[in-house]
Amino acid sequence: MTMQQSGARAVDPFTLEIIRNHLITTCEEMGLAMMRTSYSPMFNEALDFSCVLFDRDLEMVAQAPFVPSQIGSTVHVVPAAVREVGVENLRPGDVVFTNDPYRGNCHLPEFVLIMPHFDGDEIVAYSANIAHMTDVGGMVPAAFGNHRNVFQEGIRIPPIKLFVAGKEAPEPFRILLSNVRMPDHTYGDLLAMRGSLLLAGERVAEVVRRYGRDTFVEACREIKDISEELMRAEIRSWPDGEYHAQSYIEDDGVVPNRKWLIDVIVRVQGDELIVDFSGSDPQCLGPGNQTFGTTASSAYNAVLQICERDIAYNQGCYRPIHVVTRPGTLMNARFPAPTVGGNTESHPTTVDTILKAIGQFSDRVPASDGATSGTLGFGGVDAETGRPFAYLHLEGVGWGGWEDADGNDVQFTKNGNCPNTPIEVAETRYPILTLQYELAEGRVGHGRHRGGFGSKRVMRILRDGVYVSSSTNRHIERPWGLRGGEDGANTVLGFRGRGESEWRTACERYGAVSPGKFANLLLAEGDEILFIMPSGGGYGPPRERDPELVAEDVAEGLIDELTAREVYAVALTEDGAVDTDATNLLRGGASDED
Amino acid sequence: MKTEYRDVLDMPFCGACGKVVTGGGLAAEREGRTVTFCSPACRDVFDDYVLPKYGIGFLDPVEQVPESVATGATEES
Repeated sequence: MTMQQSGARAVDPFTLEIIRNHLITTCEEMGLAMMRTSYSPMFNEALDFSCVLFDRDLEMVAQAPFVPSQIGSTVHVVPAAVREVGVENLRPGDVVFTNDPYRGNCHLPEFVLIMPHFDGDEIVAYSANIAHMTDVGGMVPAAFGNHRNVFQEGIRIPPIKLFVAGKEAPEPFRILLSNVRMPDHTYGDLLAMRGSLLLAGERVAEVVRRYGRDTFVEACREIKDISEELMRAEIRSWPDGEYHAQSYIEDDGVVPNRKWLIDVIVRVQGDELIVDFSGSDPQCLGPGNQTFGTTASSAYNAVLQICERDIAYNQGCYRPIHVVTRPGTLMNARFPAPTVGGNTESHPTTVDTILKAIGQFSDRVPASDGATSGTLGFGGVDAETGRPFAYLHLEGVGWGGWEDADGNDVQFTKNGNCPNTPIEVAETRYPILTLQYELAEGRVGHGRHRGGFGSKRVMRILRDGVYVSSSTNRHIERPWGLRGGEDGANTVLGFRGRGESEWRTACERYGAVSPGKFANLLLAEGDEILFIMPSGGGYGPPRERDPELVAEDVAEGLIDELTAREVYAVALTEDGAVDTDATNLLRGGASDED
Repeated sequence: MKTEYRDVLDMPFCGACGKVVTGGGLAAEREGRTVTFCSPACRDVFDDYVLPKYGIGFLDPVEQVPESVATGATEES
């Protein structure tokens, strides 16, 4: 019996709580440091990075609310990278680096940096960050398109030391920076990442100095054990059984008209959970494949979204969650399959599919969200500097309605917590003008609690020779409704040339295989792009929606009066108030006069 | 090729979770086959869930979709 199982703890609860919060705050501080010192908008605006702390046993002991898809993969890629370099080979000031998607990482653009922290000659902790580099070389500026293998996706680096004893290792830097389109951004962002690791080292040293190494080491162990205990209690409260769900990735950008199956069995067994993806399709030929790291993090992501207990997120809460995959499938692609879209585009649908299975016993599950990150990549040669540029555009979606409320509007899908890049920042740096940006009114999954709305954006290209690429979903498969709610609205991505009035898809205008996954379409000055993001699915029958909420939606222009009457069975008076009698009649009930 | 570098194709997959095992791992004999696991927990999942449900054939390679099905794709890639 362990100390934790017997209820006894070696570290008093006050000290334990102080150390736990110190470590979480350290992760938050690391993130702030990265945001303030980085070069690229992906870091300082989109905040597409995560910072974590591992204990000396290479188990994650603290994180902060950064990007869920990245955090879940760190528990696999960090130990794998450190063990490959060799713990015995690490010295103070070393930084290990990798972006290899097949070694537990999410996908190629996620750069992972890890620094060991010593007390005397012993490692007591590791800090790590994982961050999305805007460009990693390869055939597409900003990495998202319809690649057929990892070699087209960009440069792949196995675990190596990027800093040795506090100094840059010059050769890896030269190789890396000569293979990306914006080496100044990549270099600046890497230094920002390393800076946050140095900061973490100071904070770890402070807490070790204050409480002593033994107390710190024991506290790390107990912090994880408590989270494990709470997660096991959570799972124990769920009914034992196997719950099965399926969904599809609508296409892979390479094979025409072929959907790819995500199949999941969620097995609740006492205080353990198995999330089994082995029935999923073989890996696709395009970049929609998930790596093991992405799939594991999608399982953690789904489970953590519905937990009722207040659990500190660390490796302890992942211990009772077991992921089963088969190598060579959509959920665990093998080298050299492309995987860049698996993390941004497939991950959200995978989370929603797991939630669909869990929804068979839990009422905490929402309808599907828009499930695309809205990744449009722009690139070309900057007319002023003559140097290549790459810009990754992200966009929010509507989230699904759920038991207690409507879905959120224009919020980044479930794999990340990324804000979009402000229009002013993008227009200052890149030859793209935003003409229109608003809620996509009228397009939503209706329900007792309706889905959230997506956005509608129109952009104009300001210069000849700009390439655009896309890895977006939900052009064909709609976000599903739940418990009688209606399915949500699709993604729309249209193009038109200067002076044209009609929007046409990439298939229609450029002959692309997919409306959402294509690479390097060459645009000219004056060409315009219409980008409408999907809404969330609805929850519950629309005719059960509170009529006052329907009237509010009409007043705000989100839906029209006809939809209020025909979908929600709500009649409004001339001044927009709910006509109670007429509404009761529409809903099959008696009017007040009866 | 004589080098210290090992690529992922030279590394085993965990028999339960499917992760590439970059170092360490446990080897075990199951139904006449040597299976690698990344952790004791994965070994238990294999014995208690995977093997009874799917049999030892679970470890066989997944049949891949041939490149030829992409016929009709544009030349843009």
